[in-house]
Amino acid sequence: MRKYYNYLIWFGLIALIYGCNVKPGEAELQCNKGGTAEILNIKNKYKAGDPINMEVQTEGLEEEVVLIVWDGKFGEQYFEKTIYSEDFTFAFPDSISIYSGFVTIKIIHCQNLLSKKKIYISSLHPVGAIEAYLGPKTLAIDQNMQSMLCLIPKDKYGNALEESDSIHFSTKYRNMDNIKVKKGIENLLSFIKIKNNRQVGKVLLGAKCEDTYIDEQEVAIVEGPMQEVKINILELHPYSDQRQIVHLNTDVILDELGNIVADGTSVIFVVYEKGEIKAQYQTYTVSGIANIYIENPKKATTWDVSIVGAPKSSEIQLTFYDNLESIPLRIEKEHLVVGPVVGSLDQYIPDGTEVSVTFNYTIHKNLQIEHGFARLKIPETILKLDEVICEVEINNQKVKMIY
Amino acid sequence: MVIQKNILYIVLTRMGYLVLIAILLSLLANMYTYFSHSQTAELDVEAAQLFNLEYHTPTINWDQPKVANGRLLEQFDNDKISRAYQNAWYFLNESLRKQTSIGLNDYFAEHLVEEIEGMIKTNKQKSYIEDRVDLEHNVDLHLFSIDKQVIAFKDRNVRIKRKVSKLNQIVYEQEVFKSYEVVMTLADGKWKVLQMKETENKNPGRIIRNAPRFVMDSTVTFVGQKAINKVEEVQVNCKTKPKEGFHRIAKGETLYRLSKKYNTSVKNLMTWNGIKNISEIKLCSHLRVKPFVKERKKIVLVTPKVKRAVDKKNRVVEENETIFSIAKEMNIDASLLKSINNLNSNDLKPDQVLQVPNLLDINKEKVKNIKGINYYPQDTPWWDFWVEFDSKIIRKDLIAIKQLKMNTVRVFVPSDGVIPGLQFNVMLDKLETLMDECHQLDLQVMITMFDFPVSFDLDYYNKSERQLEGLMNRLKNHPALLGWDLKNEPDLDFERHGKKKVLQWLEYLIERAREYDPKHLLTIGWSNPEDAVNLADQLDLVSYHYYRDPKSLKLDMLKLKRAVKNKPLLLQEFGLPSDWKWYKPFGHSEDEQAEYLREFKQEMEENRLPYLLWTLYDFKNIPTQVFGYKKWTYSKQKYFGLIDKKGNKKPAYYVFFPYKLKQ
Repeated sequence: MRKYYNYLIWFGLIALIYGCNVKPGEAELQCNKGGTAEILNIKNKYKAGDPINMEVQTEGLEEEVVLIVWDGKFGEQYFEKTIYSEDFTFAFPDSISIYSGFVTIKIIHCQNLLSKKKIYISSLHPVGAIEAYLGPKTLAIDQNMQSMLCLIPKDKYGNALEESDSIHFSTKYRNMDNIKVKKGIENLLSFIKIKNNRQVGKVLLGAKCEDTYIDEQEVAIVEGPMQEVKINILELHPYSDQRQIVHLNTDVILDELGNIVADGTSVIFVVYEKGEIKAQYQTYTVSGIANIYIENPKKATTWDVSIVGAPKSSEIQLTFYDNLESIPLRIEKEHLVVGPVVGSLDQYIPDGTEVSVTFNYTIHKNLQIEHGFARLKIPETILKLDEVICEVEINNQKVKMIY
Repeated sequence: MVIQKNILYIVLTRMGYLVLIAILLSLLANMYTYFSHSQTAELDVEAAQLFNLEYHTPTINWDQPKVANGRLLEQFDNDKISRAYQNAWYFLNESLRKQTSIGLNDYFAEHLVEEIEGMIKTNKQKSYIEDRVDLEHNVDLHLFSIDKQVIAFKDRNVRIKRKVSKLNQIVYEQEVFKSYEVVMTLADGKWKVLQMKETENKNPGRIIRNAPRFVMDSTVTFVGQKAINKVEEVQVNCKTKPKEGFHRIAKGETLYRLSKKYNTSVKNLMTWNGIKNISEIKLCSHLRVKPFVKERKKIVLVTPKVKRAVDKKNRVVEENETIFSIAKEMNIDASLLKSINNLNSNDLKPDQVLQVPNLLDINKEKVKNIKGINYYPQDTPWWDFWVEFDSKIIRKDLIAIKQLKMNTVRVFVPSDGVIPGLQFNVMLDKLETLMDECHQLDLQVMITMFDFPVSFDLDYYNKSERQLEGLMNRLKNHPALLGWDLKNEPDLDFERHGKKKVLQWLEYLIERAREYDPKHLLTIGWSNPEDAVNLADQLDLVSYHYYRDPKSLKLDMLKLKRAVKNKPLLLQEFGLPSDWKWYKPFGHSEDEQAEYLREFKQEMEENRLPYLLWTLYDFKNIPTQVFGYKKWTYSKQKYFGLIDKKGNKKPAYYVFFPYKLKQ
């Protein structure tokens, strides 16, 4: 047994010494054998998917394993080859040669680059639909805007085509013949620019590369932004009666080139009161005309209405007079009766109109009109007084009664 | 029972043996682990965990054509696309390294992901791993579509470093330059590589895109003013020879004849000589026959000349300037200026063209006089220095260094991310403050970069370069800067990381540093003179540390000098701890320390060896993060100073004290 323990001790010590000797840094392949290799009989150019075989002539590498490296665009792929004779042929897997571009083939042995060769793999004929990127898809007519159609044709392996390939573009502007342009491929793509051509309508685009085509593309040329806008009053009840509305519209709005602006063009009416913006109303054009309906003010005032966003806009002034003809007051026993309060057409003013009552400048009461009248119980402290000054205010109009 | 007792005895003794062997093995293993596993290792693990997308920041140089196809690439889009493109490269590199395709779908079109996956599969089957990093891209924009959906560009001479390994053994290493054509598209708010193709690389190598530096160069030329007519009084003298451009009228000569003779017109002759009436012309009159030309003056033109390399500059001497005033202005010795220009005297003439040294030459010259200290404050050495930076304490310490008539301090800048919570830019602010203080006290600074452990892996190259760039761009114009020390004692990392790997990383940094700051010295602080021969040919200054017997200093210095072909040497660290304690019989007393340093100083002065002493103070605390928790490993680090923990000057202080002491 003691013998085994001794073995165990020796084993432990040897293991320990071995462990100490292993350096944690990167280990390098220990290899000192020299030798040469040369890549022969390989073409400079292949087509994607072609089988690629190469002949290699070696010297002094018998029984050695050399590393054959395929250095492509995304990185390297490695193949080991044991040398049994001085010359050998190496066939790369078919799947490796389907991607186009430059590839460097290297032979490495003992960390030494023995031979390298650069080959080019070209793409095949285009297939499928050509990948197309069009934008912007809408152009305003009156500005110096352009759109761009970029095409990236691919072969069956997804490779972009070669610079020697070309694309035939067809552009059809409204009222014009087809424009055909042939353009080469540069930096993996080809492109054309589309101008607005100062005509509203669609520009239709097509393209082909050999027997592959793009799906139809179109660019809409739309009217430009509005220019001069005139505001019209269609309906106006010039009294401060909130039950009424003002109906305004515009003349037909045109762009710079005289086109009617596109339906849905936003028009913003701005209402100014005493020089300050009171309200903004957004609406949209239909057939070039924008309509807006605005509630009458509740108090007498003057509005200036204009349109923002147009270089020129007419400004109109709307004057609203007071809607109250008179504010009759009377005392019925312990109550103050306001009314009948009527408007310009001998109609009761709207229910809910606020009435503010002040007794002797000290006691304030608020009430509302209902069917032309408002009724308030006079406070007892007031009833006891010999002289009472009663002020009533409706829509900024005041009447005073002394009793 | 006797038998049973014997069996029990045998079992117990055998068990005892086993336990003893186990304890012994465990002890040895622990000792090995302890001695071989430095603190470096612990920090490296931490650093390794930090590797992420943010570390991948290769240089991307964009070049936009003057007339862009599509629209101009604005900075906002440029940043987004650059980020997406470098992320695509990051995930490509990672997928090759880790042999997975995680993340690729976010940055590559589907058919490209398939291609990469195919490669990974092939290599995985054969156990080959390609570890690589892209370091530099040179992007030429071809097209940026009007709607910002498509971008096409050429990426020329992409610099890729790769290491190929099989079963953890490096099979080969390579640096390549590849060129690509790339199309990226914006899909779902993300830029993806849609097409990518390797193109021919006609000029593999780095593309130098730096804007050419305009170096003032002087040329001596003659500049004549535009000819003007100046009427001079007509002399009448038959004996005096006419001056250049004049003619003495002889009998029978007319203005017409003279005009023919001198190929001019009668009108010109009359104008030049102020003649209103021909009858005024007398015999022997000296008439001007050539237009007046102001004498051409020798003018020294100082013109900008495009030079890429750092070179000596010319300077034109102005009036009242002396060799001393120019030398003072450039902060160099007048003797250096004289020797460069082969001048024997101090006399200078106005318009004289002097060749003046560039900053690098000046800094090289300064090396000869380096006397300095490796500096840390007493209370906050190593990384506490940057965390608890106190400019008042630093100023006090720098004054103390100045009192020793020393002219240089060496400071240590840790690698970004090593000190938790310390932002790199904040640290640079502090460093700049320190340098401002040094400048005020006329001290020069040597900055040691990448202190504390770093990774030497390929995926750390970009991160290191960005740190280098940040430091150098920020401080390269600081007047106190003497030079850059790329790494402290990198040879200590040889065993753990591999010598080749460490040297490759340093070599890369040297190359990049030369580009970011070509005007300052570059050095590496090797831990011993033997390792200082590494990369010496690429450095301006060979720095080494020497904690050995001062008697062997000269011999080792001569050996090194011969090995590095007489490059200037700097003894960057030396010292002895005064760590004697009753329980430390092998420690050194303060007197021994002083004696040691005295011998050193004598050797250095005799051999004109510039030096930086380790260090000013005995330290009160040593950060455990740097030297670990084992007291016996770091305790002696506390006692290398000239001033003890209580602020008392040790005998060693007086070795460097420049004034005579009263007995």
